[in-house]
Amino acid sequence: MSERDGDDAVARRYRELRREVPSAALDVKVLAAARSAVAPPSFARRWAAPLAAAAVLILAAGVTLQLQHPEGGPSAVQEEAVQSRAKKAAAPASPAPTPQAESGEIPFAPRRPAEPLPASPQSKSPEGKTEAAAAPARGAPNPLARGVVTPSAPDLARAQREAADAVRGFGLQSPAAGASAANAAPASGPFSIDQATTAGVQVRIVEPR
Amino acid sequence: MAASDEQLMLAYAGGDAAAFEALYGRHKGPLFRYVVRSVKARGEAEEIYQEIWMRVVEARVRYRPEAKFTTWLYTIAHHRLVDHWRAKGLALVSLDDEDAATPEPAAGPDAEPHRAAEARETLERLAAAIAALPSAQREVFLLRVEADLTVPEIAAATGSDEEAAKSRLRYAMNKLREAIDE
Repeated sequence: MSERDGDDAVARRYRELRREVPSAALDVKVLAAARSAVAPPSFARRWAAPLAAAAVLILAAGVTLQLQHPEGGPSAVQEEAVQSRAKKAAAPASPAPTPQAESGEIPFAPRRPAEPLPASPQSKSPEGKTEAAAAPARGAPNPLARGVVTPSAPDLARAQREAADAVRGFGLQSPAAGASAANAAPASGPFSIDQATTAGVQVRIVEPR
Repeated sequence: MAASDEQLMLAYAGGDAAAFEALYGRHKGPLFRYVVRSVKARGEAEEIYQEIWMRVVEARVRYRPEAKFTTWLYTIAHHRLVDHWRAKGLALVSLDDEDAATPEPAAGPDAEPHRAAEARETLERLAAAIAALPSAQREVFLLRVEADLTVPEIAAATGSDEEAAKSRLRYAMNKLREAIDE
């Protein structure tokens, strides 16, 4: 018997063996999977992705709008800020605040005589609204004068002492020494600075840009 | 005239589920036996068999009828079996060198009477011999007799060269012939 005949005999015998086949349940599984893979998508499957994308877009747009324009809107916020500023500015237009209250609010406010000032005739508009920016009361903190402060009494005293020491060190004599002899400091040296002349000195502090 | 396998597969890729059913009916038996005789455990074989068809379904849009559908199908099956053997820590190796020392069996005498009992015994020996084949030789043999692939097609499906496929098939046939001639 040739090799080919032997191969044919093996193949023939092999085909006489039990012919296993997949179970019916396995056939059903495979065919169902193959069918569903090419089945047209249902309405829900077809529209699920576009609807989800639309919902996400709407949600994102809503959140963005909400973040840009919070509740009340920008105009309301600005209006509220303007009114608040006007109220603050108008407060001193009424009878001048007491020094205690003044010093409580603004520690470096100028220390001027606490004389009551009449309200400016233009401080009230015909509608009764306060025009704070147009006529700020004397002694009131000017909101535009940011950075301009006046030294307090201890600071002034310290400055006077330092100035006097400096003048003494250079051997100079103050021209105002004689004129202000009555108000001179206790005999600490040949030179003293009149406190009255320095009381009105303002120290300008320029804010760095 | 019945549609070819390739036409059926193209029709299925175009959305014709009935084409797949026809294709499945043609190949389910040989493919199942190829798997079940390679793996032996029926439960594992059924799982692998189902996965092979799932891969066919998934790959339908990539199918090109450049080769026979059967070659393409058994290429997928071969890869799935290799994955299975790798997962089990086994390798698809051929014992060609060891088998080369095996002498060619002499042709045995024709069968005597008592054919029925003898045929049953022969089939049992054949089944045992197939199970005892090295996995690479068994695979080549099954591809030859179940899928009816030629040697070049077997080489293509298993990713080997034709000489190796031919050699493995020859060794497998010799052993099986020896088993049925005893």
